[in-house]
Parts: sequence; C-alpha cells; structure tokens
Amino acid sequence: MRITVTGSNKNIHLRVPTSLIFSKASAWIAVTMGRKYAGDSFPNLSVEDMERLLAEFRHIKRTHKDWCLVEVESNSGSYVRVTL
Amino acid sequence: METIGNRISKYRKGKGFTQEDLAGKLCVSSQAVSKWETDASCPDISLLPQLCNVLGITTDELLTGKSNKTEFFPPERRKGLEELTLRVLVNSAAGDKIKVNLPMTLVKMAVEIGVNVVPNVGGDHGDMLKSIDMEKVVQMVEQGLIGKLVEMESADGDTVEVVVE
Repeated sequence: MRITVTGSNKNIHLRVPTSLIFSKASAWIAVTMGRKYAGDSFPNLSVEDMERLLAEFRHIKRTHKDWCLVEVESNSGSYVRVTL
Repeated sequence: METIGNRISKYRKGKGFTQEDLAGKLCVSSQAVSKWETDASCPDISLLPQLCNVLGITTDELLTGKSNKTEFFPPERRKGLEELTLRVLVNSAAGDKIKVNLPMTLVKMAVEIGVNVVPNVGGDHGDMLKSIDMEKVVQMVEQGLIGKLVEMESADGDTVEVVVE
C-alpha cells in the first residue's frame, strides 16, 4: 500500500506492506483495539468478519494493479492518495 | 478505440441530424463537421459546450466517452459485481474534494457484514454521506442500474455523488 501526502511544506511517501496490514493478525488487532477504544462507534464486527474484509482487500490488490482507494484534495492545496 | 469524431457522429445520428443540420445549429460549415467526424480536425474548444448541448451529452461524455447517466441493463447485458466499481465523490463548497473508489464486491461484503464503507467526514457532506443507504445502492446495482445512482447537494453547495461504473 502506498500513501502519498503532498502539501505546501512537506511531501510524504509511505510504502506499507499489505501482507502486514491485511493479515489475520491485523484483523484480530483491529477488532480488539476497535472495541476497546472506539466503543459503541466501532461496528459490531467479529474477527472473522474483519478477516473476510481484509481477504477481499488482498484479492483487490492481486487483481487490480495500483488501485486508488482514496484521493483527497483540500482547497489549501494539500493532497492525499492511498493506493493498494 | 472510439475517437471524439466517432462519438460526434454517433450522437449526431442518434439525434437524427444530418451533418448540415448540426453545422447550421453551430454556425459552422458542414465540411467542418465532416472533418470532426473523420478526426481530420477537432471542434474549437469554445464550441464544445454548444456542441454538447445540441447533441444532448456532457463534455465529459464527448471527450472521454464515459457517461454518468443512470442506465438500466437487462439481465443478459448486465456485468457481474466483480467488474463494477463504486465511486463516492464529495465536493465541498470550500473546494475540498474527496474520491473513494471501491470494488462492488467489497461494498456488497461490507453491507452484508454491517460495515459502512462510506467515508466518515464532518460537515454537511458528512451528514449527506451518512444518509446514503448502501444496501439499497447494492440492490439497485444487482437489479441492473449503473451510472450516477445518488446525487445530493446541500444548501451550502456541498455535493455528494455515488456512481457505479
């Protein structure tokens, strides 16, 4: 996964291994921490549900090269892009 | 690959115009229209809005061939969810833009699990986003609807669109 942030002061380019983010361990961590710190605002997700979602993200990465998930452009000129 | 000339010709014929008719409406010569349609030349940029208005399409459709109109496809012509993409486009009146692109398979899975895939943002556009029923959007797509399925505008000028293509 690539995260790009450009602004007037700084440019940030992050490369995060998707095998790390979309793993089963990550699913457990996300659900556990989400329930602990987000409380009621965290959706009623089981670890298995989260694993399904993350497996789908892994599938998207395999089948769609450079899939742009999110693109944000602010009126001040800052730009954020998240690509699988 | 379809060119701009091909599209001008296609939409002109769709409207039932001859090249002379189209030329007359745009105050150009029929030779100019012929050259556009054979890609020997392009319409002047200042003519594009008028040309698109006469042909009944958007400039985006003319230049890129992509249409955001809502269309219904019968079962034999429908694409599977794995071939479709859901795009959420947010434009705030202040000039901020947000684009989220999600495969429809992921959207459907999220709906089944009970997760909201719509971005959680503040402001009027956040409220508009929260009001979108993604389960209904998935149902519409499964029933054959493609294109711009949701379009909202707040009193402040923020716009939210949900497009499936």
